[in-house]
Amino acid sequence: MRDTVLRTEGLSRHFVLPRESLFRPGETVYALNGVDLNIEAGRSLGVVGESGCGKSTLARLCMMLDKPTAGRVEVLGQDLTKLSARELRRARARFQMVFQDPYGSLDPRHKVRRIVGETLDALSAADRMTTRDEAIARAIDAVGLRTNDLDKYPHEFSGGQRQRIAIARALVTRPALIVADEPVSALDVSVQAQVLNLMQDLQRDFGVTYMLISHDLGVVDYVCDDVAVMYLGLVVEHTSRAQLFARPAHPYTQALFEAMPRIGAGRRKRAVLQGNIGSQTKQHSGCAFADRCPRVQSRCVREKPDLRKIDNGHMASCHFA
Amino acid sequence: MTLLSVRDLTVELQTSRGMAAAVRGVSFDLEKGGTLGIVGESGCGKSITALSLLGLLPDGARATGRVDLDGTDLLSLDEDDLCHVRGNRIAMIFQEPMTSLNPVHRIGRQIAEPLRLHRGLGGAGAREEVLRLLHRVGLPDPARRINAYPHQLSGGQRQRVMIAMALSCAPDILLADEPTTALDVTIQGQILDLINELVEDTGMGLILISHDLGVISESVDNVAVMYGGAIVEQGTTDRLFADLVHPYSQGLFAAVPRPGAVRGARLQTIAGTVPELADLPPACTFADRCAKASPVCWRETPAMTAFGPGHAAACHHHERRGDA
Amino acid sequence: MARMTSIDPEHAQGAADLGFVHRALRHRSFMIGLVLTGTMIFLALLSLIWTPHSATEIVIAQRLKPPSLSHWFGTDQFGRDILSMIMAGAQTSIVVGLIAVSLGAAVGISLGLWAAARRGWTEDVIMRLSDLNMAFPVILIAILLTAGWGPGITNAIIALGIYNISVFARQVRGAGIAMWEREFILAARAAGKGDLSITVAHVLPNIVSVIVVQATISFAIAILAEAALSYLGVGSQPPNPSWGRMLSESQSYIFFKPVIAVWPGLAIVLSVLGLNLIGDGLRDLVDPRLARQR
Repeated sequence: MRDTVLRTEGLSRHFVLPRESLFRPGETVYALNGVDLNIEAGRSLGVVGESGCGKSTLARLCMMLDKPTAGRVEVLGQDLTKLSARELRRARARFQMVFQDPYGSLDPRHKVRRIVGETLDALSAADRMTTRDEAIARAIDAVGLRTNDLDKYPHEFSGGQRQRIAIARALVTRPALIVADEPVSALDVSVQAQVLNLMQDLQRDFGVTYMLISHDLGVVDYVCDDVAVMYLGLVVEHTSRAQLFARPAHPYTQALFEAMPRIGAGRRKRAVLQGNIGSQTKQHSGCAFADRCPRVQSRCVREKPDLRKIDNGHMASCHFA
Repeated sequence: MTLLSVRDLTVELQTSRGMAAAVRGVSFDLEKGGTLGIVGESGCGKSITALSLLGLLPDGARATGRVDLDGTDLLSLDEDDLCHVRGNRIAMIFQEPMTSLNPVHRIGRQIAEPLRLHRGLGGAGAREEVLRLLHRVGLPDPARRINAYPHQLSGGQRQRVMIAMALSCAPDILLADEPTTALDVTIQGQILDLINELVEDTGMGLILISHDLGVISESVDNVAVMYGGAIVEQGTTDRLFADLVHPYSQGLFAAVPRPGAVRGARLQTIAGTVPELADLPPACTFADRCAKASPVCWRETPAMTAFGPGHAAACHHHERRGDA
Repeated sequence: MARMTSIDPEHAQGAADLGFVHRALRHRSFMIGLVLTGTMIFLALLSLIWTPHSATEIVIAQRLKPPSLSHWFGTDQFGRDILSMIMAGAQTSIVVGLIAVSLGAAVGISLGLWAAARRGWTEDVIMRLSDLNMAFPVILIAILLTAGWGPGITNAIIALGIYNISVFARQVRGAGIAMWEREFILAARAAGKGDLSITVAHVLPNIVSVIVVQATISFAIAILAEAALSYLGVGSQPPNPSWGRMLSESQSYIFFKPVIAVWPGLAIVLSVLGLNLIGDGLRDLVDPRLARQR
C-alpha cells in the first residue's frame, strides 16, 4: 500500500454573496459540495471541468488558501484544517502550488532569486536540507533555466519561462504534492508542450505528485494517472485515465469528449449539450446535471445519484452508468 | 466568385524599437460564401491581418498591398467609407464579448443601434428585427432577454448577442477573432455550431481566427497557418491536415496533447519562443527555431509553392522532405 | 478557462522603468512642475543662509516702496523687503508641508495597509474612523486645536497631518486591496508567508507609485491650507514670515497698493501649480499603459 499524499473528505465550500437588497439575505454560492478525493504517492490526479465546477475552489482548499465550510484536507496523513497558523506555515513546505497566470503570479518587483527563495523563507533553518543558495540553484536548474537568470526580473522572460520560474518556486522545498491550477492554459501551444514535458520530467526525477486542474482533457491525460471530472461542485466521475478515455461512463464526461475540438476530424456538429452550466446558487434535490443531460429520466430529478463504484477502480455518479 | 482578395498585405507597427513588420506579404482569397481559417500562436499577425481588413489598425501603423472587396481596395478608403464597410459588408466578433458590449446599455438597444445606423430601422420595426435576430442566434427567451444588461448574461449568451449584432446588417463576411477562446468547451461547441449554421444559411463568408488547430479543423474549408507575420502554409482543410508540410505546422500539430495517446510518448516541442517583432529573422521568419534551417533560409524569403492540388507552403526545404 | 494573454502588463512596467528619465524629460508639464518646485526649494534653502534684506526687520522709512533695484519686489507696509519675506515664507511652507505630509503618510499608510491586509471588521473600523475624520474640515480642526493650546504653527501642522492620515489611509487601502487580489500574493501565502511579511515584501513596493503621487498632491494642498490658516491667524505667528499672513496683512492696502498682495499670491499659486504638475506627471509616467503609447 502506497502512502496517501492527499485525501479530502466531504470537502465543501459555500460563499455568501453580499446582500443586494436590505430585506433579503445575500445568496449562497455552493462552490464545492462534498468532495472525497484520494491521491497516492506518485500517482497524479487530473481534475477536469468547466467554469463554475469548483475545481479552482478545490485547489485553493487543498492548499489551505481558503477555509472549507465543511470537511477535511489531509496531506501525508496530517489534517490541515486542525493545524495552528504556525504549524500550517511549516507544513506548507510539503505542498506547493503553480498558478495559471505566469504574468500575474510573479511579483514584478522581485528578482527571480527572491521569488524562488520565497518558499524557503517560511521554513526554519532545521527544516532546510541544504543551504538556501544551493536549493535555489538546483530548482532553477531542474526547470531548465540558467543560474544567471536568477538575477533578472520577471519581465525579462517570456510566458513559458515565467511558468518555469513559478514551477521552480514550487519545487524548491521538495514538496510531496504540487497543485497546479491551469498551469498551461495561458501559454501558446508550442510553449505549452515544453512546460508539460517539464512537468512530466519533474514527476519522474523528483517523485512529486501532481493535482492538475485543467479544462483541457488532452493536458490532463498527458500528465496524470487518474482523472476526476467535476460538475457544479461535485465529482461526477473518478477513474484511471485509461479507463476514462476508453469508457467514459457519466453523460457529462461523454459530452466533454464530444465537444472537444479534434484536428483532422473534418466539419462536424459538436454540441451535444444544450443550455448553460447550471446555477451555483441553487441546491439540487436530484442530479445537478439533470437539466442538461441527454439521458435524463424522472428519477434523476428526484433522487441524487451517489458517486458509486461501477467497475474496478471506476467511480461515477449517474443512476444509469 | 472571389469576394475578398488580399494581395501582399504588409502591416508595419510602431514598437519601442521603431517600425516592425507584424504582417509580411500575406495573400489569400475568400470566395463568396467561403470559409477560411487563420491559425497561429500569439504574435503571428493573425489578429492584425483581420484588423487591417476593417481599417482598425492601431495609431501609427502602416498597411501596404491590396485588400479588394468586390473590386474596391479597402486600404485606399477614407474613414467615412470604411465605416460603411464595417458592419455592413464585413462584421467582426471578438474574443471577449464583455468588453465589446457597452455595460450600461440594454442589449436590445445595442443590437438596434446598427439597424438604425445602416438600415434606417427605428421603433417597433427595430424591436421586431432585434427579436428575430436574438431568436436566430438561439438566445433563450428573447422577449425577456432583450431588456437584459450584458452582465446579466453568461459568456456564451453574450457571444450570441455579439453574433446577433454582427448579423444585423446581413454582412458579406463575418470576421471572427478567437470567438470561443474565453468560453467553456461545451459552450464553445454550441457557438461554433451556430456560426457554421449561419454561414450555411445566409451564404456569408467566414474568416475564423484561432490558435486552436482543432477548432479550425472542424469549422472551415480552407486554412492558412501563420507564423511571424507570414502565411507559411495554406490549403484546403482536408489536404492540409492530412499532410502537413511546413516544419512550423508540423511542430504546432505535434505539440498538442491528444487524449488517448500512447502513454509515455513525449510531446514534440518547437525550440525557443516566438521572438519579438523586431527580432524576427529577416527572410524565413521561422529560421531561428527550425530544425531544418540552412543558410538559404536566412538569405531568401521562401515563396509560396504549390505542394499538391489546393495545398501550398512557403519553405525552402519542403520538396526535399522525402529524402530526410 | 483558456485565455490568450494579449497584453503583457509586467513587461510594459519594465519598459517604463528603463525609459523613466528619458520619458520624464519629454513630459513637458512634468518638467515645468519640476522647475517651479525646484525654484521654490532653492529659494527656501537660500533663505537659510542669505536673503537680500532681513525678512523681519521693520524700516518704517522704507514702507510701501514700489519695486526697485534694492527691493526687487518692493516693500510692505512696515518697510520689510517682500522678496526676502517670500523666500523665508517658502521655508515655512515647505516645513509645514513636509511635516504634515510625513505625519499623515506614516500613520495613514500603516492604517491603509493594515485595513487591506485584514479586511473584515478591522477595515470597517479604520475606514469609519477615517470617514469621521474627513467630516471635519482642516480649518475646523486647526481652530479647535488653537482653542485648546493657543495659536501656533505646530497646531497647523498637526491639523493638516491628522487630515492627511485619512487621505493616505484611503488611497493605500484601495491600492492595497487591489494588490491583495493579485496571484503573486496568493503564491506568497502558499509559500507560508504571514500578512505582515507579505505587506512589506509585496504590497508596499508595488503601490509606492500611488503613494508618491498622493504625497506631491497632499504637499500642494498643505501649502494652500497653511496659507489659509495663517491668513485666518491660526497658523504661523508673527514675526515668522508666511505667505498666508503676508496676504492677510496686505488686505487693508489692497485698493491702493494691490501689488503687495500679488507677490505672496503668486508664490502660492506657482508652488501649488508646480507640485500638482509633478503629481500629474508622475501619474502619467508610472502608468505602464501610458508608458507604452508614448
